Amino acid sequence: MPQHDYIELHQKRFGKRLDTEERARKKAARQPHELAEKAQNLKGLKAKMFNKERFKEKALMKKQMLAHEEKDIEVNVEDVKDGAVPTYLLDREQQQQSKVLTNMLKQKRQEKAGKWDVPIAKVKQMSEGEMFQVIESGKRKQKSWKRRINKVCFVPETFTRKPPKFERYIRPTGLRFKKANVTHPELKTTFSLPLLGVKKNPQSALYTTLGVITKGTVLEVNVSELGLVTQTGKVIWSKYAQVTNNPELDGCINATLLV
Amino acid sequence: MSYNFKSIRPVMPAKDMINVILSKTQRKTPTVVHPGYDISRIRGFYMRKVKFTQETIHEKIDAILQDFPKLDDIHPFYADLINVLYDKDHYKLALGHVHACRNVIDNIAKDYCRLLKYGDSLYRCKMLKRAALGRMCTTLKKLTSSLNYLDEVRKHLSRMPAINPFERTLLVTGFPNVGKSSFVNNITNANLDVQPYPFTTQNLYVGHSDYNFVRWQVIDTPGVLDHSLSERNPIEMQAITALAHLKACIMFFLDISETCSYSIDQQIALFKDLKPLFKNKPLLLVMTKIDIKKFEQLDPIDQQKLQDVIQSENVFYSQLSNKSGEGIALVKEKACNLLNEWRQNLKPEQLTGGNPNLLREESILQGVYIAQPKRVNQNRMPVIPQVVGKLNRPTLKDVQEQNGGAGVFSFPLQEHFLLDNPDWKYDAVPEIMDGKNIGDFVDADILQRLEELEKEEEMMDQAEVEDPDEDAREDMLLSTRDQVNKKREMIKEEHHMKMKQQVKLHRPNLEDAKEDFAKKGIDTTFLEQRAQKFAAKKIVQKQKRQQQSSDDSDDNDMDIEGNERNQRKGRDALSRSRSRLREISRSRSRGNKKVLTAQEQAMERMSKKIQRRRRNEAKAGDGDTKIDCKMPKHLFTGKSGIGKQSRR
Repeated sequence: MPQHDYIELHQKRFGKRLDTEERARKKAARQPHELAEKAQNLKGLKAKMFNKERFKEKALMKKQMLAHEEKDIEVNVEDVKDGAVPTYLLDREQQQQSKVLTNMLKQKRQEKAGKWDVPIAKVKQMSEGEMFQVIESGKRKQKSWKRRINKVCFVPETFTRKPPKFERYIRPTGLRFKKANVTHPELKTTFSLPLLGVKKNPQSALYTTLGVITKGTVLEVNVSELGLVTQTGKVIWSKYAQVTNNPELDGCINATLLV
Repeated sequence: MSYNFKSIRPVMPAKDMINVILSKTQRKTPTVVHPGYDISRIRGFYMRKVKFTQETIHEKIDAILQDFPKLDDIHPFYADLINVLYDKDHYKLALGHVHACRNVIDNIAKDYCRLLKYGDSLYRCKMLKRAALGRMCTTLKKLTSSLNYLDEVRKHLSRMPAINPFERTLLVTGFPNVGKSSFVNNITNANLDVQPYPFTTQNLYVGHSDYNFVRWQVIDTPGVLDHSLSERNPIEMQAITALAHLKACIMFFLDISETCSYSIDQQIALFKDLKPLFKNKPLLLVMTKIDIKKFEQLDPIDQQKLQDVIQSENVFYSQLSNKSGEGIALVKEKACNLLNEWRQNLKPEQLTGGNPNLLREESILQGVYIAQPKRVNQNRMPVIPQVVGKLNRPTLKDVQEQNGGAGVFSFPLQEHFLLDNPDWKYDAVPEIMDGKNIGDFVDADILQRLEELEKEEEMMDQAEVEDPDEDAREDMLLSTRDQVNKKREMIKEEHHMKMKQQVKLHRPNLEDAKEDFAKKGIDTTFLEQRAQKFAAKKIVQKQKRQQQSSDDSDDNDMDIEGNERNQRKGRDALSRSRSRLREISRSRSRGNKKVLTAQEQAMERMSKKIQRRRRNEAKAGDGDTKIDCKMPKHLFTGKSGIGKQSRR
C-alpha cells in the first residue's frame, strides 16, 4: 500500500521519465498558445471570467514593468540658490508658490465652512410614489389614506404601533434597520454601529420624523465602542453620520462619520 | 474501527468555489425576466437566485465539515497524531471558521430574501440580489486561508497508512539507524526506504505479516532521541503517539554493535526514559546487528549493564541480524506469542474498543475449536464388489490391444445391428448403384402403397360398369342448351327491331304530301305552285350571294371563300357584345378586313383601351353599374383575416 511520499520515494528509487524535462519545456511553450486560443474562442460567461482574470494579470504586469522603469530613472534634485535662478526655472518656482497658495486657500475655506458641510451635499429628489405605497382599506377597499413606506427605516425600540384604524404610515418590520456600517474618514476604518436616530432626511421633514433612511440622510450613531474622547476628557457617546449609499438597493446602510 | 481518510473529498480553494457556485446559480436558475412581469413573479425570480446560491454554498461547506474527522470522535491515537502533525488548535479553528461562515451565509440569504419581499421594481430586486450574492462571495473569500489549510491536511491525511488501532500490532521503536525499517522490510512486504543515515523514516509506516493464520500489523516508527518530551520534534512525536496509544507488542531495538553512533549506555537510558509508555504492554528487547558483534563478544561491562536492565525490568529479549537474517523469524515468533498471551488475559471489549464486528471476530478467534472426526480403523481399503472380480470375458479394450491397439483396430459397429435376419449383419451394402444413390430410392413401405393404389383403380372400374344410361342423359343436356341459346337470340333481335322503329323520324316532302292530300280528296295544284315559288326565291338568293362574293374579291384581291365566310361569322358574333363607331360599321357589313390607316389604327387602339376595364369586369356597357354579389360567400367565410395570401 502506498504510504506518505510514495511518489518521491519511487522517483528516488527509479528516477523520473527520461523525457520529463522535455515535456515540461514543451508544456510551458504550449501555454501561450493555449491561452490565445481560449481568448479567441471562449464564449459567454466563461469568456467573461477568463477576460477578467487576464485583464488583472496584464494590469499587474504593466504595474511591475512601470515600477522597474521608474527605478532606472535618475532623479536629480538641485538646491536652487538665492538669486541664481536661471530664467527657465523662474516659472516653476512661481508655480510651486502658487500651489502653496491654493492649498492655503483651500484650508481657509475649509475652516470657514459651516459645521454642516457634509460629504453628500445634494441628493436626488424622490417622488411620493416612490416613497410610499398606497394601501387601500375599508370593506370595499374604497379608502386609500394608508401608506406603507417603501424605504429602509429606523424605528426606535420604544416605538409602539398605533391601532390599525389610526395608523397612517406603516413601517414594515422587514425594512427596519438597527445598525449601520460607519466609516471613519480619517482612520479609514469601518465599524458596524447601532443607530440612535435619524437626524435629518434631506427629502422632507416628514421623512425625518418617520425615520426614513435614504441616501444623504444624516443619522445619529452610537460611537461609544470607538472610545472617542472630547477635549475635556468625556467619552463621546453619539455622533452624526451621513448615509452614502441607497440602503433599499444594497440591503445595508453605509455611512461616513461627520467629524 | 478503521478509519478511511482517503475518502475525504478535495477542498476547493475559495476562488474556485466562488466561480463554481456563481456559474451553477446561473445555469440552474431561470435567466429571463422582464420589467413587465407581475411584481411577485419578479421577486420570486430573484429570491430563487439568492436561495439557490445559499443552498449550494451550504451543501459545499457541509460536505467539508462532514468529511473531516472530528477529533473528539476518532480514536485517541489518531486524534493525537493529527495534533502532532497539523496542530489541533489550528485544525479546529479552520473547521470552526468554515462552520461559522456557513451560518453567516445562511443569515445573509435570510435577510436579503426578507428585503426582496418589499422590492417594488425589477431594478430594486436585481440590486438586492446582486448585493446578496456579493456578500456571500465576500464571506467565502475570507475562508481562503482556512480552505487552503484544510486541503493540505486532506492531502497529507489521505496518504497516511491505514493503521487499525485494534488489530494485532507489533510496534518497532528505538534510536535512529538501529535497523527498525530493515526489520519491517524483512518480515513484511512494506518496501520501506532503508538508508545508512539517521531519520530516513520520518513518518509512521505499516506493513502486514502473517503468523498463526491471522494478520499482524507491523508499525515502523521514526527513531526517537533521548531527550525530554518538550524538546521532541514532530517526527519523534509520531513515534511517541503510537507508543502511547496502540495496544501493541513493543519491540525496542537496541544496536549492540554501536554502529548507529549511539552507545549502549545512551540506548539503555532511552529505554528507561520511555519505560512509562511501555507500561502494561508486552515488551521485547531486541538486540540487533549481531552479524557485526554478538552479545557474547561484547564488553563484559556492557553485557552486565544489559543483563541488569533485563533482570530489573523483567523484560524478554532476543537477538537478530537484518543483514544475515539470523534470528528474524525467532524474534517475530516471540513477539507474536507475547502479544497473544497478553491478549488472552484481556476482555474482547478492551481489545476492540466496542466495535461489534471486531468483537465478534475476536471472540471467535479466542474460542475457536477445530473438531476432528474420530477414526475407527486407521487404514480404510477400497471396497470392490465380488461380482466384478468374477468377470472373465475380455473387455473391448483388451480386444483392441490384441488387434493392434488404438488407431489400427476399428470398432465393430455391425455387432450391435438389429436386423430381421442376423445373417445379414455383415452383408456389404453398396452406396451407389448404376450411378444412383441407393439412399434416394429406399422406401420402407413401398409395397403397402402399391397395394393401396391397385385397390383404388379396381373400385373405379367397377363403378363404370354399373352405370348404363350415361349417354341419354348427356343428349338431354345438350338439347336444353341449344334451346336456351335460341331463345336468347330471339329476344335480342326483337329488342333490336323495337329500337329501330323508335329512332325513325318522319320528315314530310312534296311527294308524300301530294299522296296524303290525294288520299283525302284535296286538290294538290296549289302545293306545287307554292313549292315552285320557294324554289325560285332560293335561286335568286343564291345568285345574289355569289355576286356579292365576287365584288368583295375584286375589292381586296382575296378569293379564299372559306376564310372570308369565317371572318364574317366572327364579326357577327362580336357585334352582339360590342358597339362600334359608325364609320367602321359599313366595312364590317362587308365582312372584309380593311387595310387601316395609321389614324384609324390609333382610334381602334384607343377604343380598345377604353373598353378594357369594362371587359375585365364583365360589364355590359358604360351604363352597367350592377353589382351581382356584394359579399361573395367564398371570400368572406373562414377564419383568415383580410389576408396576405393570394388564395383562400
